[in-house]
Amino acid sequence: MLQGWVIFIASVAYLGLLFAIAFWGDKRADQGRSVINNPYIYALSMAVFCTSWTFYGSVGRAATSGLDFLPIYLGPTLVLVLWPYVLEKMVRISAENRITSIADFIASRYGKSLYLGGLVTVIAIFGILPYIALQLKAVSTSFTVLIQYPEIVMPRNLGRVPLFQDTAFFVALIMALFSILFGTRHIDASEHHEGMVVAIAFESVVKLAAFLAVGLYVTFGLYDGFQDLFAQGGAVPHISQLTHHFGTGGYAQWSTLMVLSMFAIICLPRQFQVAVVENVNPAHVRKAAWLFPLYLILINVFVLPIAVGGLLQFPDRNVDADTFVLTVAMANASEGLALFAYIGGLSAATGMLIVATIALSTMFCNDLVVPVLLRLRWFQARFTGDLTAFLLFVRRSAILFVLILAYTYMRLIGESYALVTIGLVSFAAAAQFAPALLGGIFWKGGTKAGAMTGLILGTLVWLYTLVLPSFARSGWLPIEFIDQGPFAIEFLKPYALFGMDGVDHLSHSLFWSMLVNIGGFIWGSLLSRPSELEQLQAGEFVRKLDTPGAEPVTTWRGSASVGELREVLARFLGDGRADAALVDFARRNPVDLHPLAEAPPPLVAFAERQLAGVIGAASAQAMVATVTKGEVVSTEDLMRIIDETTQVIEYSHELEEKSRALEETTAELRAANERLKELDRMKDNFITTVGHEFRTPLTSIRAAGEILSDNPALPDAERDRFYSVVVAETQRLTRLIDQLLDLSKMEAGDLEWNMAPLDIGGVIDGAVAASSPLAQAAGVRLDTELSEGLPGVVADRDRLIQVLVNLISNAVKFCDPAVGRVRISAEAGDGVVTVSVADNGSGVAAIDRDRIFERFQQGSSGESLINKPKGTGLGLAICREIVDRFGGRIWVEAREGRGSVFRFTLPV
Amino acid sequence: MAPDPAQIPDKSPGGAPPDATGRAGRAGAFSISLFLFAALMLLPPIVTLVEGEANLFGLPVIYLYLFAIWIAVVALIYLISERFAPAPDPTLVPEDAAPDA
Amino acid sequence: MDHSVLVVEDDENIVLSLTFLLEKSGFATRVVGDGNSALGEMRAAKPDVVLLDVMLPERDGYSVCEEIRGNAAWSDVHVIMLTAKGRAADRDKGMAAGADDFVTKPFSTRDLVARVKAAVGLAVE
Repeated sequence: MLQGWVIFIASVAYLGLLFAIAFWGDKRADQGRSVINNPYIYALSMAVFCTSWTFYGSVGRAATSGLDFLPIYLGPTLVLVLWPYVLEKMVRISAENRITSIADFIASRYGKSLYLGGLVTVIAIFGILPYIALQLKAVSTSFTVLIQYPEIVMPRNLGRVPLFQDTAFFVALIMALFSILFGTRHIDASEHHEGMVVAIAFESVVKLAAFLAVGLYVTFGLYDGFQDLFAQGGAVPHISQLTHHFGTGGYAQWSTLMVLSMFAIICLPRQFQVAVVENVNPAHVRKAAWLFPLYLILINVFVLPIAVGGLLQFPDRNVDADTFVLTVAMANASEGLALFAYIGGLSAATGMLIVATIALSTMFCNDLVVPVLLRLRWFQARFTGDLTAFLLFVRRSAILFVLILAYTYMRLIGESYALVTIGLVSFAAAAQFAPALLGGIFWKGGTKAGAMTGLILGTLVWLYTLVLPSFARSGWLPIEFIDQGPFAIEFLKPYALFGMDGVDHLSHSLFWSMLVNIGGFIWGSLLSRPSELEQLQAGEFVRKLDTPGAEPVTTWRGSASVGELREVLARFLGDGRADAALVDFARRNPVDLHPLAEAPPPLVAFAERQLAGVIGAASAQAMVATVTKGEVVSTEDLMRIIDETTQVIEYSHELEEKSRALEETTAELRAANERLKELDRMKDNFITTVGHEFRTPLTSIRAAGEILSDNPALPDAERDRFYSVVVAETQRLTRLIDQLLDLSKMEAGDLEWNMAPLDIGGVIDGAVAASSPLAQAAGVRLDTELSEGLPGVVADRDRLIQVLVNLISNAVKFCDPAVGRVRISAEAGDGVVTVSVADNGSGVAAIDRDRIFERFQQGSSGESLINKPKGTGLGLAICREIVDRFGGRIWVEAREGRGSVFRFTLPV
Repeated sequence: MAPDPAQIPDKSPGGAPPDATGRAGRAGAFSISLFLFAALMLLPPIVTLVEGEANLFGLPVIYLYLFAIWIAVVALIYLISERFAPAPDPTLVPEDAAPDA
Repeated sequence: MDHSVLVVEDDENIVLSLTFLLEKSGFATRVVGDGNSALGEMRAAKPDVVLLDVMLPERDGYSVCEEIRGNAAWSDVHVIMLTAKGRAADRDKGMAAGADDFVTKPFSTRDLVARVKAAVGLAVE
């Protein structure tokens, strides 16, 4: 019955069914009746974890090293125990940020870093490609083994299969077609691939059913239940060893595998794809948390029985344990079961092929090709329009490229040792993402530099301790590399780094790679300063645990016009979807969609998220940045970066600051109030004083006027006296008004100042000349004494003369007539010119020396000022105002002996 | 067109009560203790105790033990997620779950 | 008998007018320019009326007034304060210091003479 064409038809029929189911899934989705909006489908799709490596390899592994296959499935169970903290959190973060892949997730977390996304993609491709090759190989092997029926011949004894007779080649092409059809339907990679997910769920059912069928057949068909099977196995020493003890790797490997698989369940790109990207509802995680482990239990229950059965069936060990699932049925002429087992293996392989290829091609396109292309000038020049077709082309090419590459890899490496351990090597590669991924969602302090450092170091160690030695064992490197270390350096032996001997290679590699990865991540993070955007994203990702569903922050503070945004959207989403997106946004938010209108920050953020679903977070940010001017992160957003605790600390700190600021402000206000009150008092005083100063001459004028008018018969001499009083007091009033106006203009800054370089000697001479008549009238002698070579000063000549005349006339006024002497001198020093006006008059009392420069504060000299010309009380105030303006200082000193010296300085 | 997820009111944070403490609270505490328990039971040194030639009900003790613990853990996940974090109203599916029309 | 008036004022032009007015009205007039001199002059010969300016050098008119009122011997001396500050507060302050009357500058000459006469009980013509 099992002729080649039967197997071929069965394979084609199965794959055809897969296409039909996927097509149906997409059709239902288009009708709005989603099949995958269902926790059972979700849990089944997660079972893509079980590949052909599980299907065939677990039994093989059990038959050679006992229970060692089990931790690979116990680990994921442990991770799902923590579903609220890990998986659901990742799902929520991804939904909000329209994450398209694990590379996008890590890049997005660390400040939407293009380099990090690219790095993760490269590691993923190198790490996963061999794993994909392994699936193709399993398909090829199983077909080759089955087609020999009824003979049981191992492929290694059959020679090489030509390319066009190789099932794996056709399977690769068909899977490429499937992935292209159902994996790139939407330009938005964060949209769900409904048909693909339904097909994967179906495959999970098929492979489980097939495996259970074989298990039941072995346990209850060939033997009389578990007891009988284990009793017969127990009678054979090496089988009993397998069923009762840990594997050859011992406890270390047991623990290593557990840790590795815990990382794998969240870090493998295909697991991230089905569990995070394809999740349609975070609530499904809750149910999948126990459904998926249940699936794992079911698919593992019969692994050991089949292995024991196989070992009992083929005691001479000429059959690979990896083929027991097929060959046990074949050996007992159960053709139908053998075909079913083959289909189960095919489903396990194709499920992985599809999801891994889609995940890798999305990463390849979004995190490697698009960022590079968008930076190339010729690309920007050539592709200015709609890029959706181009993006789909890139993604489809990437799918084909990945599968062909994987196939080539498989053909080249063939039976080599490298392929056998490749599953775990892939796990170890994916595990390198764990520190950056988990650190990223639990530790705010993780930075881009830290993630880069950890990833690079961890991957290099992984390469050195697992990949290179496996190359050596395959003969591509001298075997001495393993035995003696590179260049015979003992402590660099790749399987015994720094003398760490006695553990299995996997544990050894995991230890060292995680040591440098985690260490690099932590130290790199501690020693680097994250950018504002990094801090913001860190806060967003970490925060998800405490405040699920909190609004994502609006990162954009810059401005862009709606038209510009729409143009960017249209390039990557197409015109129709871009417009639909904007209209949809406008429906829920009050926003003006006029092309020239300013796009509000929420709209810019919305546009960025739409783009992120298509080209990944990093490129989306770069694209939006091309049309947005301004800061990426606002200060208030930065406040949200800080986690709960720090937020409280920060808040109370801020409160403290605020209250201190408030106190300061209060004090300032109080001071200002005091100052205002003081000014008010001064203003009152000033007005009163000005009133007084006006009333005094007015009193004389009125009194004299009334006397003159009431006493017409006044003698001429007396009459003249009163008339002169009226004239003198009127002049005094005029002078007072002039000076008041002068002063107020000066204080208000309304006065014109003609600042010019002046020769101070010339100015003094001018002032002395102007004052001479007054001095002569008072019988006071004026002397001038100027130092040689006085430097020039910059001042207003007229105002400077005003100061000098004022001081000289004051001096003259206070001198005794006849003996009075006033000496005017000038000297240079200390970068200033000091001008002094000294008199031998009554002097100024010590307490008055500051006061007399205030307005209306004339000195209260000991002697009465009767018979002296009255001042207005403003002269010195004006002098001070002018000298201040020149940048100098004015003061009065007592003179030795008798009199006083008024001095002022002028800067040179 | 899937709407902006930011605009969707979160009605079912992981099936827990809407308050943030609900999930990270009781169910969360149970989850963490179950994780520690499972890790303890499935890793050395505890797991080494069941190694040996002994059989129980005709089955190797280690085989029975591992699957028993595994089944117990899954059962406890079921209890925790379905009892302490009760299912949300199934009609409240976030809008962004809707496929692209 | 001539009534005597002591003028305490530091502005010479005002003094000129005051002495003219008072002497013309028949008062014996003396003039000083500050408070301390005023008190010295009073001790030398008690006047009937003191015309006391408020704004004086060294000590103001209020304190001089208080000192006058503090001396029982001078209880019959009439104090009329002269001020250029026309506010009610200044008037109250003067009254509180014990002034009998209060004249605001610039004053009407007739009014001033009338007040001085009224102070010494002379009929105002």
